[in-house]
Amino acid sequence: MATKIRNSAKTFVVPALPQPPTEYNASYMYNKDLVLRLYFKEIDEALRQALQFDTSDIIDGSIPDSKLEARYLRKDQNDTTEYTLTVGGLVVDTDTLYVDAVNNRVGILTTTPSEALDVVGNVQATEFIGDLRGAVVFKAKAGEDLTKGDVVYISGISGNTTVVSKADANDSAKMPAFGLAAITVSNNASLEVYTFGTLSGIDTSSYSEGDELFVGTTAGALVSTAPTGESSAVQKIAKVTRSHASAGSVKVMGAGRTNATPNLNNGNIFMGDASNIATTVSFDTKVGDYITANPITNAQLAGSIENAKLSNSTVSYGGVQLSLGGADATPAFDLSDATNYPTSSLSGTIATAQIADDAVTNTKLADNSVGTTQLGDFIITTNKLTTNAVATAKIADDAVTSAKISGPFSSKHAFSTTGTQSISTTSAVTIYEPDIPAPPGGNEATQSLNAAIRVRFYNSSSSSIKENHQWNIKVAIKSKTNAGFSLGTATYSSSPSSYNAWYYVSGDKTSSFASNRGGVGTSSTGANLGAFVGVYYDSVNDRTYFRVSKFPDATTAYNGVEVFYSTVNFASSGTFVNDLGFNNQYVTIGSTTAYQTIELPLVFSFGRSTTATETRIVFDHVSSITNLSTVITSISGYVENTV
Amino acid sequence: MIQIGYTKIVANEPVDVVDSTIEDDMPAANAALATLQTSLSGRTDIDTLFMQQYVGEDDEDGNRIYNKFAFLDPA
Repeated sequence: MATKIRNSAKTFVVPALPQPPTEYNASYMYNKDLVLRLYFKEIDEALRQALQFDTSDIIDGSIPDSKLEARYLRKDQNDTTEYTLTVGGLVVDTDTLYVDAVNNRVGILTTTPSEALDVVGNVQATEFIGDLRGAVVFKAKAGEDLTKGDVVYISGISGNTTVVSKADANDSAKMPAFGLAAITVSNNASLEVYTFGTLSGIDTSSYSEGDELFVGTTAGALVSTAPTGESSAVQKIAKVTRSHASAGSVKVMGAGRTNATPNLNNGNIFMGDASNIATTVSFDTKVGDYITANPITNAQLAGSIENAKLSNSTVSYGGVQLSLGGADATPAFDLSDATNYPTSSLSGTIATAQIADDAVTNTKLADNSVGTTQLGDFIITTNKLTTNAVATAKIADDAVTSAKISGPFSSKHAFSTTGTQSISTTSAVTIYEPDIPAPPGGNEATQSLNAAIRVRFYNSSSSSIKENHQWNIKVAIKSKTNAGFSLGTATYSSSPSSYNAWYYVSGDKTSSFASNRGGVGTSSTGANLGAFVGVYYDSVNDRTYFRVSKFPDATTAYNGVEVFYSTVNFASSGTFVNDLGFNNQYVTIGSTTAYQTIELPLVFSFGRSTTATETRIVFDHVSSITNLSTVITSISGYVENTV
Repeated sequence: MIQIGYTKIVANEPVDVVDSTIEDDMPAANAALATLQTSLSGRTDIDTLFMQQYVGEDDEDGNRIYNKFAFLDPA
């Protein structure tokens, strides 16, 4: 009502008068001055535009009461009664203020208020009295890219706005957490942070409803198990109220502080430091340091200290060492370590039984102090004499009689057969196995065999003689070991044939050989085996020459290398090994149906042994036995141990 | 050269069978003889296992003569 148009630019312009419409006739035109009839074309639009005010058309300020016809609602200008304005519903600016008269609700920025007062947007008030329902949030600015649901800590301030970044339980500078990001934002963007209450619309599918969530060791992450270790702070910040991949929700709580009692590593304890602040230390280290700095005093000890805990469990005094504890209780006093014990301190006599064997040495006996008359028969037994203790010069002529000698120097063990044994096959036949008993007393002895075999051949042909029949007799011994012994480095000497060679080694080694048997090799187990076929000693040059049969490298196989000899050709134990009897005997029976008897000596030395040796005598026809019968008529001889 | 073999009885006559030939190396020959003894274990026709060595001697016809020098009873 009280307005004023002050915009001169919006002057009302009367449109030009138009010509009268054609329907007006001449009569009308004639009387036109009698009745003014105006016709303004488009005057409505012109008036509407002219009267359309904007805010600049209204004078600022208020309308004083003097300009108002009345300050109260009244029926007419003469009515002075004050009335109450009653409005059933009220709509101001569509939804800026909306009064729902039906449900008795007021909405601000909503036309469908669900509560007595329903505000869509933020509410600012000096004070609010009453209960609160819903989350508590605060406005913040992202210090880095954040995802909805990230747990954040306060990393700084920008102007008056709090800056938040991802919290990390492993980084004390990023703890404690203050809430969860309400939305996904980029760095420096604004967001709200839920510090208390329900945050919905996040992925909680990895949890179960009711799970309690902690700040994790991955920045911004929540975990359902509290991180362990002293490097990780513990802060429980939320609880899962709904487990869902997209519509999950958590109830935020406990923001702003980590556990007052942090994690504690295995073996550590809390201990106050010089600043009266709890720190963690190793129990073992701390207690060890304490004991080192504060040794246990005698007054603090209860019971006794075991000997094993003493660094010195013995006491030495005057050359006598005493061990502490029960182990040395008997004897109570050990003189084994005593020195300068005066003989004057001895009383009584020392019985023979109290003198240990070998206790009285030669140096304690004065020359001739023990006369032969003071020695009873059999006083000095053999076990009281060391090897060569009695020199030959000390033995008087005829002092040692045969009765004082035990054991033979040589023992011979005879054997013989009285029956006959026919040989009717061309294969080798064992005709006797005379074993050599073990040398007495475990002594080492040279063992040998000395025998004679008498063989009777008979040519049963009545028309032809038996000529140049070949046969031989071999003597085998059973191998006890495949190991040979070293002869030293061999040097090639000469070669009597293409497969024989003489070598020599330094010194006299002939006692090491068994005649006509054994083999030579370049290792103790018989590499490059060659048959040993001869030996002799060259006293002029102090060399032992030996001959080896080996094909085709007899002249080179042993030159300049260490050679070994084995009586049994390095054969494994349990193997019978022949003598080198490959040179056959020949017999010719120059008459038909005639006999020929041959006696063949067998003389073999088998080397040294301390155990029994098994021997075997073998007869072997080499050539055909057609019209030939062969009978062993006698085997006699002996085996021998020579000590 | 060492041959490892055995003598078996065929129709009451001995027959020599050479199983393997080894250079003059007794460790290898001993091992071969032990292996042969194991492989022939339980054979009732085996009379003897043997080692024989050629030492360069041939017979009149030029055939090599092997000297049997070691014998082992069958297992």
